[in-house]
Amino acid sequence: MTNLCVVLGNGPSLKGFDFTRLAGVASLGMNAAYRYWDEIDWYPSYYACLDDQMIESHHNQIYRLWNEDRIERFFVHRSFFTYHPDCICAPGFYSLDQVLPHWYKKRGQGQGWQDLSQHPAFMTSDASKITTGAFAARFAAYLGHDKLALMGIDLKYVEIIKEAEKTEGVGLVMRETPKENPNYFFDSYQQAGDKYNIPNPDAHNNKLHIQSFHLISADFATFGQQTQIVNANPKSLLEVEKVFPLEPIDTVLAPHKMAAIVVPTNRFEIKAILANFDIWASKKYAPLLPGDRDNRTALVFMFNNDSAKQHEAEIRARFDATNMARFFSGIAFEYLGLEDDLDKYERDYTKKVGDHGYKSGPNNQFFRTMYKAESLGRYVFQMETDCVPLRAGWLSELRDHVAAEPDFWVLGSAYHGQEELSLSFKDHINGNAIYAVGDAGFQDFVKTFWEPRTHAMVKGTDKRLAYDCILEKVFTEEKDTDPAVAEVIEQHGDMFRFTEYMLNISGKCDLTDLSPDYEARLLSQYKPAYILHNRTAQERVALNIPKYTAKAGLSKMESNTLPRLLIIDMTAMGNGTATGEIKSNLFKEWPANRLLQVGSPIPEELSLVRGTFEGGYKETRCDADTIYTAILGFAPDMILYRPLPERPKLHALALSVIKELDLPLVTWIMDDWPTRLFAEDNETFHKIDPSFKALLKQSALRLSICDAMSNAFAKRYGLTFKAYANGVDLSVWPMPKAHTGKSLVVRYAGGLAPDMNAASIQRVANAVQELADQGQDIRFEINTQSWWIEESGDLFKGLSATTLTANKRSFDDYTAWLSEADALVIAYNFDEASLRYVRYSMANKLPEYLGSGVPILVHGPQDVATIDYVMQHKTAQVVDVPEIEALKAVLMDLSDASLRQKLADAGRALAQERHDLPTLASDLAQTFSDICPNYTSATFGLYLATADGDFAPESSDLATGSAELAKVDGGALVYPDPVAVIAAAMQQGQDGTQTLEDWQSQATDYLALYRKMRETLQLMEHSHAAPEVTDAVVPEVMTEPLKGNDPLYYALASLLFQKNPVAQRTLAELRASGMVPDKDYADVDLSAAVTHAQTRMKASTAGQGIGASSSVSLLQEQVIQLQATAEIYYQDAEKMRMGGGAGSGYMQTQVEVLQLELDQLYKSKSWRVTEPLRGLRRLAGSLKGKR
Amino acid sequence: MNRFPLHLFGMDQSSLLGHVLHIGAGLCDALPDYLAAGSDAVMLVEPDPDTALILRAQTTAYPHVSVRENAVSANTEKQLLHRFSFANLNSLRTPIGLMNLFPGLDSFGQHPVQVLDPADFVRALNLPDTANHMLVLEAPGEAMGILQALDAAGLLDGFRYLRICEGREALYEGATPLADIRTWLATRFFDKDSVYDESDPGQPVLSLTYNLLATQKVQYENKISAIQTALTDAKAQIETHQQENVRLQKENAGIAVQLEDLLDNRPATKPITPNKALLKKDQ
Repeated sequence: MTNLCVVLGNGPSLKGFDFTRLAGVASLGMNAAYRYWDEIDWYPSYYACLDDQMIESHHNQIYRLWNEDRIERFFVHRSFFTYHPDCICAPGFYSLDQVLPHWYKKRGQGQGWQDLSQHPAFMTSDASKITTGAFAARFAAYLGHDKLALMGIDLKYVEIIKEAEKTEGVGLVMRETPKENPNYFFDSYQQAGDKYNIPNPDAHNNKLHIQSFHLISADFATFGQQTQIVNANPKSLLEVEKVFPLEPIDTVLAPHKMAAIVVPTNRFEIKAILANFDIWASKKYAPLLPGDRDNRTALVFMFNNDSAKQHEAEIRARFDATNMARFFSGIAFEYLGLEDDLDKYERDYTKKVGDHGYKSGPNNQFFRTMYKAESLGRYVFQMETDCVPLRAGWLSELRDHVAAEPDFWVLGSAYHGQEELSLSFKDHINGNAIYAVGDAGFQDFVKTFWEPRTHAMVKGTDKRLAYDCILEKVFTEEKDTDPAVAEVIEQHGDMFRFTEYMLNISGKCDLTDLSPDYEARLLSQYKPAYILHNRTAQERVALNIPKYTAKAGLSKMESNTLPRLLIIDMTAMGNGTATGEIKSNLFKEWPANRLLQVGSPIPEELSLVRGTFEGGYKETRCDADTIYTAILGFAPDMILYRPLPERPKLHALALSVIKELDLPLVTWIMDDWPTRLFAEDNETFHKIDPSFKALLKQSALRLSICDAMSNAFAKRYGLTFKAYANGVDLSVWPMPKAHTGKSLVVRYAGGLAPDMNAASIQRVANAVQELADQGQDIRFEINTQSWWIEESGDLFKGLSATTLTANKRSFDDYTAWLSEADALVIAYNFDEASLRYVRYSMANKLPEYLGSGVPILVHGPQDVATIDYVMQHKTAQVVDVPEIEALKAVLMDLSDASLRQKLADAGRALAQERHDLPTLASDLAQTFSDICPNYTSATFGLYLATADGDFAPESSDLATGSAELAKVDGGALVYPDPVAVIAAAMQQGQDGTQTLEDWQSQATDYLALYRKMRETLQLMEHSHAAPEVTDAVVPEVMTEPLKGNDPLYYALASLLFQKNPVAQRTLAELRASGMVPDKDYADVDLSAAVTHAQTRMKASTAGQGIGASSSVSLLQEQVIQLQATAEIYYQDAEKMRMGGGAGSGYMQTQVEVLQLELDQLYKSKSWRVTEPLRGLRRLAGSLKGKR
Repeated sequence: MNRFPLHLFGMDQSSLLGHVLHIGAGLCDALPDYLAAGSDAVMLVEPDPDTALILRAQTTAYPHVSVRENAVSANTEKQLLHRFSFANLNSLRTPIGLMNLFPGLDSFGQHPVQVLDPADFVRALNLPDTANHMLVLEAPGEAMGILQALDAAGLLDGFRYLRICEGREALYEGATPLADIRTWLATRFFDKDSVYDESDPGQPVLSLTYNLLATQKVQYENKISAIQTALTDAKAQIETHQQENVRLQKENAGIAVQLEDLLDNRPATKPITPNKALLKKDQ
């Protein structure tokens, strides 16, 4: 569910707003509004006051609010703490000094506050634009709210009202209490003596407030803060300047009329339930439309009795695994207690049954469902497991449909099938319908009319009857004889309505032999239809939909532990180009907060590309300074670079970043541009080639686009390449059509580049034209971009059988357009210039074509890798000579429907086997993780025990988890080795001291919990010293191997750790308290550190000019120092081992020596001394220096 | 042991603390609180040499804080300190139940330490009578011995506040569980503000305040009792005197009767002529 926070300004637009409407919603209020809250006895969840003048007037009242526990969290200006020092670092308090880098270093750090200045919610490109309103919104975003609704932020101040007078600087004081205050929603907001600052001082051109909100939009995009902000105030300046989208507060807060999907079911339908999750998880049948994040509808399973309880965990697990929480607020289970005669569903009417009838189960289940659902909300959709969506967005539509419909009791489907129903209920509303369970009148109707008459009619008239038909039967047969029935029809007849939202086609004869295009025909016949009630259709979709498997794709945990990836590539992910799409496809599962791209949309411009809420990508053009800042803020673990000659500015930036960050590098070549450059621009080639080869050599991994390219490049560069090409996710593609008939619609989607494919596509068009002229039913449809029509459109003039369009299609329309074709074309030119470029290319669209269920016609020379590939796998008709007659012959062959079907099936099988996108993405993620030694996954975690004796796969937060412990059979507390954590952090350029403080803070909390609950908790260390976990039952995280730390950083981290005796003692207690089969903890391995430093020294020497010599000599000097220190260390260790009397005191002296050395390194202002060892710290400085 | 909770003793930051004697100070998390409470002097005693070294380094800025590298025990014979990977658990005694609580604990062997006699040590501190002193004991296994030694020397009630960390069960040979220490301390008037901190139920911490009123009450009760005894004695004496008086009166009455009889029955006698010479002498 959206984690909403309503941020309340105090502008006059808020007058008359009923604050109690915010019950159950997080809210943030600010400044002097507490005067009003006190009056109405309502308080927000959070409070902010960042105006030092206001703090002077209100600090005691803020303190009172805290003392009275009125508000959970306070975000205040530092001056508050001069009055109330007991609140410094007190739980619930946050200081402005925590969030601004300058003030954090100057003051916040000294007071012991946690550093929040690097949190993306607070990172800003202009630290002068600080207002309570804007930073309150940032604060709410920091607290994790993913949607903010701004209310009462009018930003239309009367700067100095007549009752106010100036004090010092921009300060004001209220001389007398205004009778009417135009700036606020209640007149007594400001009172005599109140101090405050001028809202919009001259220094900011009187636009401080609006600028501060503009800045939020820009900063969040730049720094990757994923928070949606809407303005709920149409009167605000925010709306005038369109800073945030407008969404009325009524919409923001509106509860759904559509409260829940209720599924009446039993234990024999578990398979169908799980299959439905798979179906709903596919893009084609997703409950919500793309971009619709409203997941407030619940999903409730109404089981007939307790016999299904054993399956609850399995259903919950699949609900989680298929990420149904995207669509539903949660999952719930009700067990209706139906047994024996009350739970019959007997289809053999020759058998004898009691008074409850053959369908007592469904009938009773329906009525109990209606009663149980009363508390869920206004309306529920009863959706049996044999209902299947006809298209995506069915829940979005259901919600809108119900919202738009005048009040009703039952809204459902007539019977649309082929059976002849009895006249008495041929017009019944099928049970899969929407019911007004929250309507007291409907509940009374069910209780006093529907249920008793159902039982009476089953007992007295026909034991076969079901509740839905009975209602119609009663209405039609008894309306003239029974006044009560007549009265119901008279008074409530219009509360029972039909809709074509769902289609009931579930008669016996409707369940056999559905045609392949059955659903498509339904959709063309019933435009509003979204749901089909038909078991056969449901089973067919379930059969064809990709099944959930535990290993498919990236699990949430896996994705959260992926390296932070910086991509440098000119084409933005998801921008519609082939190279943009391949990245967006293969990195689709990569969490947005662990992925940053630097792009270059045109030669002299740079851009940042980040993921958006809707799952797409947003490209923002920005200057190099912003790019550097963003990269530093992002703190990547590794870099993926696609070098290209046509973006020199991007290339220069890439070389600089790669050099300075010194992170694992992956290079990716998708076309053989070096060969083309060599032939076409020899001078540039020779300018670029050395640095290009150096990059390849430096790369930890080199990617190509296909095996042919890998092999060719391996020969050319003497280095290995691994092929990754585009893939296709069949779960989001339409069902393949059945190929019938002789007529041919041939389609091509893509570019018409003269130096790649235009001539060959023209040849295909000519062949089609000749066949058409000969009377064949054939046409060729090309969809391309407008610029290709401009450039190559003339090639197709006069070819009446070919149409050329530049339609932009949605993904669904695009996939449908391809899937409905009879043949799809891939073509390459035969000339040498084209071949130079495409010889080793793999057509980006090939996987999609293969998966579309349409045969492919490939036309081009055999030595193009794509053509060779499809020929090897026999999945396409290939014409590898530039001859129209050959093309005509193959096209004639394709008029054979059986051949088309055979090729289509083979192509789809190949797509599934070798181009499955989730598999490729998962494989790529694993490959990247493997080459990224910076990353360590050791973290704190509380893992609750599960009923099957294992542990939950994911960690619970400490507060929630400790509360849950009482309900489960224990749990495990996992803590990381602090030295490894510090080493990893330092490698990534983070502050080791801060990391240690964070570790200490968390360790203290974990230890406190463990001490209290020793009997129920296991304590274990996740570190290099962790035990081999082969037999013992341990949380899954313990089985994950940890990456090795850089020995040098590990040594430095050890020294840092030695400086903190409190942390040492905490670790000692953790280790003494916990599970320690193997106590061989990793010590300061100075020998390894020295070796590592030497290796780096050699690496530095290699390939560097004279300028590097001084750096190298210093590195040598450093190595010598480390060796000397290591010798002392080992001598000392030897004395310890021999039982020397000096003991630990002697050791302490040596540790102090090491500490001293570390201190010198940190304190030194000489780049000479610090250069070899300070890694990314140095980088940050040097990058900043360049800007 | 967690930070020192002033409020448990009814104190706040403005309360003034006299001397603090912390035996088994470890890294002394509570030092900032001792300082904040305005303590006149803080004596930290820590037997572990490494920890004592760190303590000294941390406290050099505070002239009224002293660190001594010693153990304190009622048993002043030469002893060895059992050292462990978690130094807070170091003890002069052999661990018995400790490994149940700390299964991963490593022993670092035994090391000789200089042991101070509790009474001698405290006496040498010359604690002024007028201030509120505090004794903190984090000497695993030694708490009861130290307290009894101080009590025997009449020094225990020199402390106003006690804070003691010891095992709920005996974790070391011969150690007294904390509940038993509490019971015993109640007999010594340390029964005010008695609070268990069970953040670590295996090793709870007991905070107590010397019950000055209870002490005074007992003193007054003793005085009253003495007075009452004296009164009873006096009453008994009066009774005795009264009885003697009655007896004497009776005896007197008998003598009077006898005298009367004698007078009544006396033979007639010749009046005596006063001897003037004798009368003069008598005068």
